[in-house]
Amino acid sequence: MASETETQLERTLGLTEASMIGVGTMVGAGIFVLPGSAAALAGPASAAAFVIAGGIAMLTALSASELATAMPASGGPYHFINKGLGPLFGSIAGLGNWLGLAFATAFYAVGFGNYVAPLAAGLNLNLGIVAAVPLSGAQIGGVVATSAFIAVNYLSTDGTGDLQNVIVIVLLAILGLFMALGATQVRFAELTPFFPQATGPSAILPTTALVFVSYLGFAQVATVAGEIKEPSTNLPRAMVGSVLLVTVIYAVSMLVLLGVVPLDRVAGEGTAIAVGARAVFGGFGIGVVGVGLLTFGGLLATASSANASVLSASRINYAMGRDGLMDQRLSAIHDRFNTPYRSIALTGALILVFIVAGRVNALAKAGSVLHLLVYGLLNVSLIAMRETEAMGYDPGFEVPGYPVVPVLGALLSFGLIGFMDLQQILLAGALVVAGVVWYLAYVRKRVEDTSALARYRSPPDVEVEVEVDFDLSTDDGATTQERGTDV
Amino acid sequence: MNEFAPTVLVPVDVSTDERPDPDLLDLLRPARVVLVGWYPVPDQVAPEQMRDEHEGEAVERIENVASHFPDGSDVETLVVFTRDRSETVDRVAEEYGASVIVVPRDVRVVERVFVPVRGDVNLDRILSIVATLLAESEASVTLFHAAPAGDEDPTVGQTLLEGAFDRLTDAGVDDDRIATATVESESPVDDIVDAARNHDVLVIGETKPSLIEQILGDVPTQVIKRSESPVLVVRDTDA
Repeated sequence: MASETETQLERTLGLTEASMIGVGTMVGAGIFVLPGSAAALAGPASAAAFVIAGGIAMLTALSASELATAMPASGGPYHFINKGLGPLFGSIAGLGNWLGLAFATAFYAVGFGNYVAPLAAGLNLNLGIVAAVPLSGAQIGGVVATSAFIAVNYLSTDGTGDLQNVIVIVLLAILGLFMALGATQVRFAELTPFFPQATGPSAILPTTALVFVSYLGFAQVATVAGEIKEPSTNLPRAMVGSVLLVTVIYAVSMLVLLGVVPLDRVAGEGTAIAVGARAVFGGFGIGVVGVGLLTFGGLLATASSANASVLSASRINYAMGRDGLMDQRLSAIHDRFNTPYRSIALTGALILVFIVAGRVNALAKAGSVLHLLVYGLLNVSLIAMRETEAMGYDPGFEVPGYPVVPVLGALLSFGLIGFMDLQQILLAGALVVAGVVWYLAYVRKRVEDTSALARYRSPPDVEVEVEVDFDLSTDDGATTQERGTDV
Repeated sequence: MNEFAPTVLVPVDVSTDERPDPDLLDLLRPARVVLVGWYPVPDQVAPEQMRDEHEGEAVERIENVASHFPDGSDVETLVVFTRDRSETVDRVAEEYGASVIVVPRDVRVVERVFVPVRGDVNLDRILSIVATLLAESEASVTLFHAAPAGDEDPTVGQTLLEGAFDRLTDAGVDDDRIATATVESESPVDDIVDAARNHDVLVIGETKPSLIEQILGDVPTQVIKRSESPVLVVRDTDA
């Protein structure tokens, strides 16, 4: 019916809330799961690996900020790539982003399990399960935790957003305390040699590849661009700020950990930070408190990362369905629970399979490699948008130092894939092939390519051209632009 | 239409069949009404997806509610998909310059309006809105003051109520339609809710809660929570 009723989407996230989403999704893995593996690879130089990984994430965060302020719709990186480069790359990015999140979540869940397993063992809760099933305690913990996240999100719970804020604040307080107390006890002798003797500085890049997974959360801020108040200022600040904060936390914690505890006691340790906490807080006679706090923090951090990733994955399913790249029935909303239940269930099933099949470092790299592929394409998409002067492309925030930032972002993201293990490089290759096959078999006959790139290559006929070219309105101060409700 | 007509915001949950009572709508006839159909968006779903799936139903519901207003009412409709109802209500009230927010509940016939009076700056606005709304109805009004026990000179409340009484009669409300009552109270919220029980609509002023009230809940918020009648909340727009 011809209606006069306007429909609006409320923007409910301020700068703090948006930053909390970024920090809450990111902070966790890098400090609670990976320090042991990173230290085994690169020793104290793993702090440098965290900084480099943060730098690569930062470049992409800048590009993602520009794209998100220009196209604030659900789907995040997938959406930007689909709009910029078309449904072929959209298929690759969508699948990559979705599976990448599933791998990353599996990794967080196993990390969570690492913290639960000793608690369960301590309480004699093992009950012989470990003997009966060919899974480690961490994997069992991960399976249980994942099942819980999936159930909670399948059935819908309100207020998880508020809970997330509390979790992040508690976490930051715990980490702040750890870093502050630890900084007073660092013995610089422990930090030398800075580079591992066997490999030297060449260990840094493979370590960067491993720890990149701990930065995957920043793009989540882009997926909620439509819900952020004053996005052209808040969105870049939230993304860049959260990457910066998390980079500092990771690097400082790594230095504190290795400055306090001898390298061989944490190398390869799944809960290395708990070892560090025992030493740091032990220096003040409260070692047990420290271990308890950091274990608690580890549980919170991995849970909030996993939960946020499950939600992101279903947003991608929805966005692909909306654009015709996937069957919309996958993202249908449940009548009673009001959740995209099929999407949550399928993503959950994938996560469980990955937990059972994978090892923690392999899961981390699989999650990273798929995201790096997506981030590389995202930077390329930004270049495509700018260079083709795409119609209606009017970002509220522009990447500083264009084209250096997106070009570097693309090169470094793709380049870092080269430092993964062969297994994960093959995974990236397989995903590209799968995306192409999916495009040819399913997408091509359903979806017309209206991306910036396609329009540039073959501009639409003049008579079907009904959109206004915004670039003409330059200096008359007329800034009100007609923009469709869905971009 | 009265050019001083207050703008009244009526939020309606359009994910349900909730609909404000026609008798309440009748009371709002002199006002410019902004009907906000809000649709809750769960954490698990993108707001756009909720809109894709439920826009038609939401618009239909809010326009249906609008069609139940008495003829000649000035009603605008709006649908908002939101994760936070109160944030939406505040923003829309600000955008439309609404001075009153209605907490709709079932009402029989609006015959008795209840106005708890506190010594706040908002009192002028509350009274002018009450006067406007009463202009087109036969309803009577009770002005009520709960004085904190022992805390206050009893004549303060009396003076407050007399002033309020005069304001209403000056604005054209017959004095036999106005009753006043004051009570010394250990717990103002209890007494307000009790005294309001045999009335049909409450009109209360929004106040900036003090820090302790933010934790424990300020008086207006508690009254809204505990009262069973619809409440018109007059915003403190100078804040």
